[in-house]
Amino acid sequence: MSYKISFYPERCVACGACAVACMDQNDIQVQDGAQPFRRSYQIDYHADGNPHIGYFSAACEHCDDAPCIDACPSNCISKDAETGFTVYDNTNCIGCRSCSMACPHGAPVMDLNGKMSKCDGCNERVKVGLSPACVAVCPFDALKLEEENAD
Amino acid sequence: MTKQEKQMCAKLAGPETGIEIKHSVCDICTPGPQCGLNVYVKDGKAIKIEGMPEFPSNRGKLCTKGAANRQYVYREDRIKTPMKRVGERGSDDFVPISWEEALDTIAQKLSEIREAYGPESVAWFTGYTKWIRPWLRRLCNSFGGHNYMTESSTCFRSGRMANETIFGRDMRGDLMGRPQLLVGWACNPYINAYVMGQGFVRAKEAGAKIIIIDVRHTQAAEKLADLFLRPRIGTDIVLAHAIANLIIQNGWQDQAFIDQYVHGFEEYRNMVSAYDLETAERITGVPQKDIRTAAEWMSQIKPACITPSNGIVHHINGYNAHRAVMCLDLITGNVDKPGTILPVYDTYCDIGSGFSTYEEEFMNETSTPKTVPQIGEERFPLWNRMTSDAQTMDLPRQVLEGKPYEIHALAAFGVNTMIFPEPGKFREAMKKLDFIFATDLFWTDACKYADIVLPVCSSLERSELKCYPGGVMYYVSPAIAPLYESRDDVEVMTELAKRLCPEDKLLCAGYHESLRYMFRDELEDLEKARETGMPHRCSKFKPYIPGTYLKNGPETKTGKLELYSELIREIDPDYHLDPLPVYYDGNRGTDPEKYPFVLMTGARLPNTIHSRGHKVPWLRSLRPDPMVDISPEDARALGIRQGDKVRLYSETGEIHLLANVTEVASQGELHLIHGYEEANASDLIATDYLDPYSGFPSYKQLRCAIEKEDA
Repeated sequence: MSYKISFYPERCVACGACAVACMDQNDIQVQDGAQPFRRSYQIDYHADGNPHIGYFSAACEHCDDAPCIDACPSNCISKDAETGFTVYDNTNCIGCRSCSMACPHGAPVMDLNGKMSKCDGCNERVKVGLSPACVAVCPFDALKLEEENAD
Repeated sequence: MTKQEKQMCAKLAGPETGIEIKHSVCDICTPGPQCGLNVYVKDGKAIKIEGMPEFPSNRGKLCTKGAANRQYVYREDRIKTPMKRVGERGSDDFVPISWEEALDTIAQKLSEIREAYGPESVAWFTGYTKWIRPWLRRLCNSFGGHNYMTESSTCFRSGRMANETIFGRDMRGDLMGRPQLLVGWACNPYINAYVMGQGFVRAKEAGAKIIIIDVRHTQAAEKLADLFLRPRIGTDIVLAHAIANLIIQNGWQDQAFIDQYVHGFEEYRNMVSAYDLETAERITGVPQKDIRTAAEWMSQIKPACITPSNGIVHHINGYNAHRAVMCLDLITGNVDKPGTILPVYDTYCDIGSGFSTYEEEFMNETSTPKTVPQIGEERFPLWNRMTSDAQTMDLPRQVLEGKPYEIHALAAFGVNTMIFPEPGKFREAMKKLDFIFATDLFWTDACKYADIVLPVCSSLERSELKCYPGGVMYYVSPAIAPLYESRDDVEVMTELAKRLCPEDKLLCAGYHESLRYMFRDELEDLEKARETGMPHRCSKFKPYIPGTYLKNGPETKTGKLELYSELIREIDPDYHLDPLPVYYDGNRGTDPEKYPFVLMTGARLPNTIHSRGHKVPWLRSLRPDPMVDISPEDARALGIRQGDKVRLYSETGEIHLLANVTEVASQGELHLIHGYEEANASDLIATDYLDPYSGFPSYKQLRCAIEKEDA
């Protein structure tokens, strides 16, 4: 059994409530230069000759085969056996950013101490039956916590 | 990390972590949807905020702003102690003083001014939100004054006036009544009021058709609209009249309904007959086929809910714009039926909750006969006829000119200079006053002009009763103690009442006693709500039965729904107010060659309401710089690229900010959120650019020009 934070773009309006709830949950001090774990954004595009706007929310995708795990020379990143989230202990992080470079989305960021940090799926919350902060707040259910059965 | 450390880090509530969940209410945005909060508290400090799952409206969800409550409450510019000005007005030279000294000084000054110039020479103002209004109105009355005014002089009230003009009463869309057609006119509920947005989504999922009419390409346009009409700024009336004209030309109107309930159909028909499809397309820019589809849907799909949002009244002809849209409900018979629009009966603080209170009596029973006109009364007679407030937008003029009489003091509970067009004029007026006191959470520009500044607390730090539709009462206790030396606003008013009008024993007795007076028919419910701190369904709640209002006869002069207003007809013709919702070009007078763009300010971003989000770092991080939205076509023509520095200027003023190149803006139009101190939209708007019906500033339609600045 593992969990995923699924994103349903058709329901998203890029309001950023998810990003802010994440900052509140994780005490992300953006005013001091800290990077958020989750971002929302909107992109203009054209389809059928008409202008459109796409709305998105993105954070660590907790890939099954997460390249950041192998990239880390200090073995900071691992899979949580219970939830399947890509979690980390940055005690031994040397700040080399290999994780960030290996990640297709650049999800891992450096915290204000120069150590890697990122979305951990609100691992402890999920273990006690709560939703991740971003999922709990999303006014339009564009983010959902979903279980995936291992094949 | 130990298990306990991990739980602490994840902020899990429970005995292991010592984190407690306390209930509160979010007071950041508009009073209607204010959401229930779960505040995670550790050692007396809020450490995390979530939506309250048991709350009937938000059900555990929050918007962007609500999610940032913790940083909002702990904003660094919170005022910490009462302050006394020792320097020039407009400077930051203040010294801390005690509450006793502050309150005594205010009472002494106001008493002296009352003695010397009469009670009318004191203006009482309250900003956002609305929870203190009954108390401030009573304090103004008990003081002997009539110049009670609020920020509703620029928001909400004009729409209500427009509805009262037509229907005799305010009306609201009935999303719960399963409308088959929803017309969101200038409405982006995803961002402005997400609980309503959820209602739109549910309606769409249930098969309702949705028309979105907006000058901007919004989330609602993208996600909800089966038909998206995009008129030019300030041409909504033409679009509404063209739709009406087409409906009437084709005989699609609900003639039986009109014959029975509507007054002024002939005059209205004559007026709208000037707006054929060709004329409408030329003025609004909306393709004729789309106007036709809108007319077909609005007349043929029943029930339909056609309502404009608040934004539409922020035009020089905004009150009439609201009326023009609501007239479509009349001719299609979409009134007082499930899924259309239903009458609003206020319960408390501008919210109808399905039971009645003695709020009106509480507010006004200590009032005295008026001996001089209220501020704005002579300039905005319709406003004066339809509200009991003074019109705030005339305050700077009256202070500066001293006509029809002098104003000597301002008693302000949350005033912000940015609400005033040309804030410089208001600053000038404040410099002229003998005495000003201001309460606020945050140190704003207006505080610098006050003689005494008082720190008040947020909703997390106070007790407050709120009522919601459906008979819900919610009476919270403080989730955390008031920060620093702050107190709640009503406590401040109570202390002032003891000094200024001690004979008003009820006001002097404080918040809860006042509530017991207002809710004396629901005392058990009040106490129960207070005791549990949970949403409580009032035992006196009676759901409104659609159709009752029409059956009993609309509360207008004619007893009918008025397309042609008999109330306006009675107003002195010298004011040139038209009983019909007529259209005129709101851009008139400004040279389109010199000012080729039309600017709209105030369309919401998700991360702020007015100026409130701009200094909350989490919210600010979502849009770090003040930006003006410009269409890709216009940007290309002017050589402006994303993030370029631009100068935006009007006949009145100029501001400097960055360009945001986006399809949100139509060609020839610009959009800018207000409330930035460093790029204040109000600096561009002239102080007398006001709607003559309502006195509202034309925040949303203003000719201007834009140019790229050197990097």
